[in-house]
Amino acid sequence: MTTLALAGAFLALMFLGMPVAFAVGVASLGFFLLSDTIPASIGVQRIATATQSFPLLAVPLFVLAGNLMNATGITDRIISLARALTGWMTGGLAQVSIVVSALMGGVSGSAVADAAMEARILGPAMLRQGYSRGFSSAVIAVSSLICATIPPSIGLILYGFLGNVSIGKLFLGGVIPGLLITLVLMGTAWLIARRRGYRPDIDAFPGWREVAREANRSKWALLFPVFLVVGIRFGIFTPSEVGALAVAYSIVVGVFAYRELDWKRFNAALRHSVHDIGMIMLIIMFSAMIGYVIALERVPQSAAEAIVGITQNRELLLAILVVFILLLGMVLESTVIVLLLTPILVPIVVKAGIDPVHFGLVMMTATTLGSMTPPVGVAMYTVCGMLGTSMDDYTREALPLIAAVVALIFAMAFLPQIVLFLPNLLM
Amino acid sequence: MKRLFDRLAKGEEALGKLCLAGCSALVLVAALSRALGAPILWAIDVAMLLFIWCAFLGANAALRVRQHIVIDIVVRLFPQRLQRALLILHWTVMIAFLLALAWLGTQLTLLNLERPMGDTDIPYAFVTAAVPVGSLLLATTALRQLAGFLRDRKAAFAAADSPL
Repeated sequence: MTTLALAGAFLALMFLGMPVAFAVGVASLGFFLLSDTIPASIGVQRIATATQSFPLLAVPLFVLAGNLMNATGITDRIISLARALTGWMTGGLAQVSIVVSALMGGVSGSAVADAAMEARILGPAMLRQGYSRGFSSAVIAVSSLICATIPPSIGLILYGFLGNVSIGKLFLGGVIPGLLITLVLMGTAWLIARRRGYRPDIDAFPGWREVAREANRSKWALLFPVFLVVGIRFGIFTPSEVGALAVAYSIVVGVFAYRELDWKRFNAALRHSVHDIGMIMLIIMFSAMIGYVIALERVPQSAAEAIVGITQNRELLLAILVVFILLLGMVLESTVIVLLLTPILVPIVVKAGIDPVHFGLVMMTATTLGSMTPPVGVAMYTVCGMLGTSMDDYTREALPLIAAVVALIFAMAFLPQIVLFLPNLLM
Repeated sequence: MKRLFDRLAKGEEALGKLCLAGCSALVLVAALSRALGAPILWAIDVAMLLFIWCAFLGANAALRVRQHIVIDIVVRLFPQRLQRALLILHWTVMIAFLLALAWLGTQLTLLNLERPMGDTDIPYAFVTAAVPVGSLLLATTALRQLAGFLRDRKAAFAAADSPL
């Protein structure tokens, strides 16, 4: 009951335009202050303890590593490589934008950062070549989902941290789904581009020699996810430690290999990271208060009972959860969904005999897609804001892409091997 | 007054960057020392201490440029007058919330003066102190923003819908 009142207060504040982090904080502190039994100091304590966990350190470290990689000139190299690989196909720039998300996915863990970067660099070029505003925005926003699936992924770190699931296995499990989303989106974009006569960006395939040359130029970015997975796989390092190594790696690459990282760029990357971390962490810290209430009210247990009451069938359970998360993703911000649902859902699926790594990838893909689906989606807002696209145009053009991804999410839900093949093979 | 706030912002930003750089360096040292078989235990504790400070300083830096995520899909449909009234109400509530956190956080910090954190002799109070200090800084920033909305009709709508 109290949980419902709390959720209601939070939703009301959020939709009336209070910043999301504060909507969570105000609603939760209100609960503590009104409660006779629990002292408010516990809520405040939760804010501090939320940060005092070693696995969570992976978040700031990978945010910094991603921003540093961007400052080293890796982005430009990756775009050239993607152009050589796919620029000659029908709908060339759309394909390039999708492949850039996949390649950037290996160095960056945030969909919104990727969407913003592509909207800035590729968006204007797409409009110049006659792509509709809605289609350009939709391709850039929806494809940034790949970036959040291929390791490292901030969302998967949070899921692993909250659900007590191996972050290393989650990272490995993200590789194949990430590649599949890339293929599915490329196919969908190809169909649309062919019907509309969107031209290739370059005249012909430049040949494998050219691709190899471009790949060589961006090899430090391409090698990074390999190095990441190997480091975690052999248990040499924990994900947080790999995060610190990633920071060191990007500095070494930027200074010695590409020679583009100077003090000014380093400083700017550091400043951006502090801002990004502040944004993410304020939501995480204030949500920690709600987490206490959820546990206190035994919400996971009652939710589990309610859901198990509906069905005992594993596939049906997964299907219900996917639909639920997709709907929730339309109206809530992704970080909030992960923070609130992970502690509730992981015990439920484990009890039903579903592998939490499998569920993690299904849940995170669905949750992150929420950032690209109207009416509420941060990646969508970012891209549409930067390219001046109306939400109607975006929605109409994003629908086929979103539908393709949703179909893939269901495939992932019903065929666990898509996710689990690599983790089982390697770990 | 304005110069004082600018200086504060500069100092905070430098401190935030220092915390993040220090945090990364310490985790790296901890990882390497552990891999070499001679783990340095205090490095992780100090890294987590720097982390919470970085988080609050960063949150305040982001509030200064109104970077925190806002869902404006509903509010956008309201008449401007109502939007502005809501905005002023929100930021007033946020300031009250932050001041309450600062007060409760101070009490919590005073309780933790004796308790050591993890493997070091550093009092846990250094960690919890980030809550009241951070909340006070955030409240100051929010107060300045609120003053801006009240003074200038347009400020309430500037950059309000930009998530980045």
